[in-house]
Amino acid sequence: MNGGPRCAPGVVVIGGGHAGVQTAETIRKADPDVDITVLSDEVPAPYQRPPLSKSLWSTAVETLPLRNRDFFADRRIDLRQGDPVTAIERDHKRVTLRSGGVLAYRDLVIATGSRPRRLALPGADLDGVFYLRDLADATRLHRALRGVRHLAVLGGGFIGLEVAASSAAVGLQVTVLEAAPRMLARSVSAQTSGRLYDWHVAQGVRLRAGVRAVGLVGDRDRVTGVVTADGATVACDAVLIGAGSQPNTEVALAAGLADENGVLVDRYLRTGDPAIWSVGDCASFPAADGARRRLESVQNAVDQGRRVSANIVATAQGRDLTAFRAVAWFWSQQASLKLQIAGVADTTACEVYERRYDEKKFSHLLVHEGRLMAVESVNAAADHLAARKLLEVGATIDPVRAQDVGVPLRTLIPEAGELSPRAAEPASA
Amino acid sequence: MAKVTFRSSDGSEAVVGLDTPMSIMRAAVTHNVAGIVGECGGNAMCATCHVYVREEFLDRLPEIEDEEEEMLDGVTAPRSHRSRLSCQLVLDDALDGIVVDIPEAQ
Repeated sequence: MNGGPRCAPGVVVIGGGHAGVQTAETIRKADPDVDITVLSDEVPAPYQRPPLSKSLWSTAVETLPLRNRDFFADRRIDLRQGDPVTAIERDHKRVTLRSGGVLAYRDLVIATGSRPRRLALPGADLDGVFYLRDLADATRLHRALRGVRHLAVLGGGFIGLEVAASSAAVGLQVTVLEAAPRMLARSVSAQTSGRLYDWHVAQGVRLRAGVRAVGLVGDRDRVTGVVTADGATVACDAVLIGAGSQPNTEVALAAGLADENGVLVDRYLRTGDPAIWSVGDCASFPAADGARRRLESVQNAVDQGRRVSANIVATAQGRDLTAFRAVAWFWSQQASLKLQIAGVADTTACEVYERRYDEKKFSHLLVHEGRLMAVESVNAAADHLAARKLLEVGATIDPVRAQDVGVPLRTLIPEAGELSPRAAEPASA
Repeated sequence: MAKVTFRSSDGSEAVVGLDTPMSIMRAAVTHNVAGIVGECGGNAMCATCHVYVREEFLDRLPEIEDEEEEMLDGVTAPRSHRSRLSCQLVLDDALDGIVVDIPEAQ
């Protein structure tokens, strides 16, 4: 869009989600001249995913653009839609596109995101079986749900519980089957999981933990039931599968930059190839505790997008890089219930302290060896915001005092100067 | 058709006219108004769509619900009595002509 070809290759971003778009925006702010291209494999212009599950029961699926079209034009960001990358040719520093096009890069950012893990169940290809990730999924599900009376949800994770709650609220009979012994087992403490269980049951959702689906049965190509490991059949006329997600790593794997759990980056978000970086859902990065982690959240995508941009610009200018370090946070809207999580913890290794306002408003504080690791808040936004600050400064808290809801959590945030030694370390150390 | 005027901290102005009611956050994002982010997609979760509503429109606004109240304590720019999360303000005929100031930071 700037006329003829340029001499110097610029920054190429693969992926038009939160991470990719944030990367392009931040690089442009720091560098007015470099060519920036965003390659989105989806045909629609970049949009927000969170509103999709929220609007399943609205009159239409709401699409909220991530940025408006002029945003890209104003910043001379070349947005190309619906032309997936087929290969990264590292030796030539270029990518090839399905259309046959070839694009050279100085820096390449892999922000390919993730997709729902497909269950290899017999009958999974029947009509009436859905996943929920992108606009096309949401549109299909939105259309189909109108005729559904009994929805079976496979997987008691965020997506599964969100759709279960909103569907039960409009009168559907909903059964959630979770293979693990409890809901949200990978995401929250047993205490929070237990409270959510009670809440969903009170909304009329049938929750069955420790029940594994082994197949789907149908009548004339339409799903009519889920067969469980104990041989029973749960009758239904639609199935939503929410069995976690997997990173989109095909192109990176072929280029030797990934393993099965993500694109491998160092703490600067750079891959083993100094010209290639990765951010967002697909990036497997070393967290502060040394463990590799891949996080699926808007916050992580946006914060990594900002960090990688700064590091790319720093590299081009011969300056030092800064390690990625950010407090992770997540949210899930389950009908009228708002779950907000700050921090990442091994929930089984933590002591759990409760701040309880009432039945529907509380927070669980997860503490490991005296240190606050994560806070899970239900309908308690102020606790969540304070928790993000507490985690950012690495505060040690008095858990007994923190349980007193008469004391706002934010008053426990230490003043500058009384921080713990770990928090005082520079982020780049 | 309802109109909203966004005034940014550098003094520039953007006027957006809408045929169908939508939140002021959505109006800003869909019309490329800089300074309103809406990172969470309008869930009152991220506090990145903070605006200062001009005094004369304050009494036309819906009450601040508990969760907006709590999230407003987490906005980046200073909170004032004119602070609202624009994802919670639906621009309809009742708010036609509203003027909001965009904070310097989200």
